[in-house]
Amino acid sequence: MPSRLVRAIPWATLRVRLTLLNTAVVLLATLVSLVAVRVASRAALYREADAVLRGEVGEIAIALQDFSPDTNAVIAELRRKAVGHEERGWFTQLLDGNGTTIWKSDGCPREVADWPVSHEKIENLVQVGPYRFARRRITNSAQESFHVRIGMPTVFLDEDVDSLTRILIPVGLAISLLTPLAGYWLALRATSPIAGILRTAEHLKPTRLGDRLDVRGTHDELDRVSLTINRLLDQVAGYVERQQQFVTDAAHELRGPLAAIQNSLEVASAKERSSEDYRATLDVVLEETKHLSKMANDLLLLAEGESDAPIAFAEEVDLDAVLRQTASMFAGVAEDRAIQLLIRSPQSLCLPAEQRQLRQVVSNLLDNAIRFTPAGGCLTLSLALDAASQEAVLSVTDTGCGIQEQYQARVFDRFFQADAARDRSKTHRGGGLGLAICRSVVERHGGRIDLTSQIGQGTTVTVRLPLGPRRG
Amino acid sequence: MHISIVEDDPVIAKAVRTAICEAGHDCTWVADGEAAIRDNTLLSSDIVVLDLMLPKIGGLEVLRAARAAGVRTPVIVLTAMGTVPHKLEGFEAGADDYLVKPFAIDELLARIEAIHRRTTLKPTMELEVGDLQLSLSTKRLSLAGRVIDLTPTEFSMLELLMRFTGQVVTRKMLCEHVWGFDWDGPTNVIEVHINRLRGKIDRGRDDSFIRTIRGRGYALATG
Repeated sequence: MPSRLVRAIPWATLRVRLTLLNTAVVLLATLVSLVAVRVASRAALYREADAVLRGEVGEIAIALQDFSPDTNAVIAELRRKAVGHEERGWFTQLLDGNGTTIWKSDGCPREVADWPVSHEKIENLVQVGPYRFARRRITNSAQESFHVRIGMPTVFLDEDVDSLTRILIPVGLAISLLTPLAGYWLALRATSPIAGILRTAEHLKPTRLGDRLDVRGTHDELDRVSLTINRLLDQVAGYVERQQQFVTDAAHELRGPLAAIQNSLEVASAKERSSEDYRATLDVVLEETKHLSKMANDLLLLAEGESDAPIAFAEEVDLDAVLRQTASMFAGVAEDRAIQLLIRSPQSLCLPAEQRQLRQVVSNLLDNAIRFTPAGGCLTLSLALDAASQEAVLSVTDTGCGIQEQYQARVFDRFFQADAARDRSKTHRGGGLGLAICRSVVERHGGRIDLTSQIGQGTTVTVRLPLGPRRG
Repeated sequence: MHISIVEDDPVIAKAVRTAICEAGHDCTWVADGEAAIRDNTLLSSDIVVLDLMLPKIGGLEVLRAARAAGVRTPVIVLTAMGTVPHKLEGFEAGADDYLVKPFAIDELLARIEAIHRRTTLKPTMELEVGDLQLSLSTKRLSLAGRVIDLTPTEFSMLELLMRFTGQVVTRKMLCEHVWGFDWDGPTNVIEVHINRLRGKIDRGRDDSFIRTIRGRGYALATG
């Protein structure tokens, strides 16, 4: 039965653990304070009794000085006083200077009567067994010494303490019973918002990320937990939405080449054709397949970039060298199309990066610029150091057709292509991923990419890359 | 030369086998890693083309097992996983070369040739095809005894074409060879240089030394 009960308690819950911890702390505190109360009360009772005893001894001492040297008068006086005392169990003893008892009251116990006289102190308090007495040495006008003892049994004091204890114990028991209940109630109150958070969190699904946790406006830790989780959910929802969009876009973009392949093959296999026709079909299929392969590679490159935290690159890359190597790759084409290719890069500029990825960025930018710049145009590749922001500023400026204002913000989006680029003719055909890859790579390097363009004037793409890891 | 392809996709395996056979080599197709280990494929071949995603026993395991057994047969690894860590893992397991799917069969053939040459022939400082003589030491081209000036880009391209005489060299391979970067974007950055090269070496010829193979790349004519 107890083991069933033990098993039935949900030990792992925060509620139960908080309750147990709370109970343990309160019980310990109660025990300590009850003991302290008992000790302090006992001390107070004894202190009070001592004061009374001292007072009595003092009074007798004064009386003795008056009556001395007549011992009998003294005894008579003591006896008179003792009458009142004996009702309360008090006792009196008078001794001479050598410690011989001259007179003692009837109630004076043997332990006290036989207690040797000490000359060390004029007055002090002595506890002998269950008795406590004040004593005093008195010297009268005849220079005779006496010792006076007035005492009481401490059993009454202890009884008082015990009766206090009898009150304290049930109080302690009551606290012990109430504490777990109150603790459980408090824990329940404190954790009920957590239960709410749990309930909402349990209903969250990758397909239903619209739910948010309640923020109660109390600005406490739990509100902060809710806010943090909500922010995380916002990010996850955004991420999932971007991924879904990515998949949709990718599938949509793959349809074009796939349709071209399918239709060409359908037409080719509809009836017997000449080998030239078959070859032409194969050429189309091969061309479209290559386009698909390229797109798959680009998509993978973009997917790699989805981990949005900038990476710490171990390699130091000279951006000037990257610029010149890439420009040399396009120099022939530019010359062939009568496009002037200018490089304005006065110095080498090293920064932590991955060289292949930067070459990819510069290649994509140059490729775009060349494809959209008519013969006789001019491309300027420039590299400069922005000393204030500690950034390398790389820009590619063309004198091409420009990008319409409504498209400018979207050119770095995946698969976005302005109408001119939608043209499937050879010169303009891109995957719509070039600039998206540029942005992904640049952001992975902790930088940013911007574009300014004027219709008929040309376009400038500017890439800013930090020279070192960003602080903070 | 006897080449084995360990690949579970029959379409790719057949295409590769056909291409290798047409290039004049023997080719055996092994369909999974278990069979590759059982038949000792690596030991019995001159070059092995090994897919990594294989049923039963993966390609990397096959490769590691063979290398652990001391088999030094050159291995070209094929995989759809193209990230740098994947490639490094392949090389650490003992691969000699790496091709990411989808790949051009011409590139695979060229890589097979390159490995074959590396493992069998001494490096040469002179390349000769027909009347073309290319000196790698002096960086000079002579055509039937007449010296022709080439730009470094043209020289580099011709060198690659001559190394793979009669075989298709893709744009990507040329890019990688000349600029050390396999950029494969929309703009054909190779064509211009090929055309200039043709202008220099084809003077007085009816057909060009360098043939364009549509959709694949370029090939240097043997004669």
